[in-house]
Amino acid sequence: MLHALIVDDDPSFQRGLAESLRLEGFTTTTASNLAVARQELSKGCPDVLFIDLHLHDGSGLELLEEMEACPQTVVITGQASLETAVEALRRGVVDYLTKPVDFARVKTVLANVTRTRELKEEMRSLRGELRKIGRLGPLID
Amino acid sequence: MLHALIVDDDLSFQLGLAESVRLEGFTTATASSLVTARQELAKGVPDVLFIDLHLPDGSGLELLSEMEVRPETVLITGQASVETAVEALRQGVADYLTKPVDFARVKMILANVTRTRELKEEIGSLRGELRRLGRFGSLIGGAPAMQKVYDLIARVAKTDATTLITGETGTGKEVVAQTIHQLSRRHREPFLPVNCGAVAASLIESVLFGHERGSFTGADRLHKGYFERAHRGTLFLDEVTEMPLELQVRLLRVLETSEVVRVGGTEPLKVNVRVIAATNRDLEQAVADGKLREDLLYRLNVFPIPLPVLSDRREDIEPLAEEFLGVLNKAEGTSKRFSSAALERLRSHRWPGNVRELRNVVQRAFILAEDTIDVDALPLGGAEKVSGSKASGSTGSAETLTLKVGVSAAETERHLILATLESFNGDKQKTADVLKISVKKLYNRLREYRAVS
Repeated sequence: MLHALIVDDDPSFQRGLAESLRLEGFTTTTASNLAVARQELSKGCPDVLFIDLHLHDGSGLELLEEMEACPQTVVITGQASLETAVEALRRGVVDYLTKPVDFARVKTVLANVTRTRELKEEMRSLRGELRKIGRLGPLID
Repeated sequence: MLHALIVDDDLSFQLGLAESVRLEGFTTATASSLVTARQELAKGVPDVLFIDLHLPDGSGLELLSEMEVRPETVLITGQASVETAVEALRQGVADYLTKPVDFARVKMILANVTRTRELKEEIGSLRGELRRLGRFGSLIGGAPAMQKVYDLIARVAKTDATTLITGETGTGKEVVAQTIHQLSRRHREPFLPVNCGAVAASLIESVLFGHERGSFTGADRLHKGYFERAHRGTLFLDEVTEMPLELQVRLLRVLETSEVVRVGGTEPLKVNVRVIAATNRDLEQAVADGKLREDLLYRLNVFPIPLPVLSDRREDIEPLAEEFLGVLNKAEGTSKRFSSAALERLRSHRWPGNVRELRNVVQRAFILAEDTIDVDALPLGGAEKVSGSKASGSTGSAETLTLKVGVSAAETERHLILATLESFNGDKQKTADVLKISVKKLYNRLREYRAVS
């Protein structure tokens, strides 16, 4: 089962998003500030990370800079401007969500996250197979 | 440079979207109806397709079902409801865009499309590399005869075309079917194999099409058939020529209408199933013998894939044998190897039972040999195993053991035990049960055989 971490200080949005993620078969944890989010991330990397750009103790983007290997990240923003999109993409974010929770959008974002994950897994397994044959190379030649 | 096709009858939206797509470095073409869209698509498949749901001459979704190879598709809709999103995702659409043009969203969509495309290209190039090394999906071997098969699989996997795999027993028809499924856009959905020769003629109708509760004695509850269970996935009908003729008529109807009616039912149910059929019979002969209806043959034979016999791909014998041995070594935690003389013997054998026979021989040799599998551990002389010679009504995977008159009783027992063990993939409990001997006795025998070899 895939796991999502939601970092947002708006409790009703947090609840709504968590609920719609669970409906799509994700497990969820929530954090309402950077400090709690860091604790959660130290326990393990989620498959997808939702972060609000504006949190009490800083910007959600700070988290991204701190992490060595980023999970697929979706930023949460009050209103999406072209500037937000450009900035998010520059940081390697895969998508953004605006408030309030738009269920159709959440569904599509998760479908894309899942697909990207599957493609990456397939890539990894093909690479693994190649490595395996690489060792047996002379036998096959 | 990546190319986008925008299909929308709202000219100001079309213009605005085209402009923002060009700003992201794409070339664009536009169409305002399905007719002009089809003309554009005939020139070549774009990298990304934006289509309006409601066009003057129909729904944009129609275009999707017509295309064999689909580009990344984005749906344009006045307002997006959860229902729209669900339906769009089901149709394999990557994203949707609402009106008026939301530039931030367009930017995000194109970034996602580009990333997905890059991942797919990388996967394509890794697959190409594996293929050069003699691996294609679950298939092994780089012989020219197999490269032809790989070309056919790669072409048909992208489509939903009905496929007919022909080849002698043991040439790997089911593995080919699995590989087509793996490489198709149905790969996340079920792949269900049915051996039409292994199901009793009286049951096959309900097995394939399902039955309603109470439709016959013993039908105490509703049963979904393979066609229903394979919905959105792939159904593999092995030994399709063993299906009774009257059922071949029903199968033909299901293939033409994409609807099944359960036994005892009246309501037709829509199913979306890709059918791959297989047979080891000569097709024209099967029609001449009255085993296969000619109309069904034409319907199944949309895309034929003939498989080569193992003796036509001798260079693949060694990698196949090494693969089978590797799997056994891994499962048993051993590191047994073939001697070079054993490999030479494997390469020169006739292999009437093809890859399956090779796998069985490797399994048996693995049981018999200690660290090095030498020629004397290969069960290729003395007794000849005939795979696939089956009595009517048998399971089709039934195997017979042929022994020359005059073989000693002890030798006969040895061949029987090893052949049985091998047909149960090394399961000692089952082997002992079937032979009606104790597991202890079986272990003792195997130890003796090992000591002798």
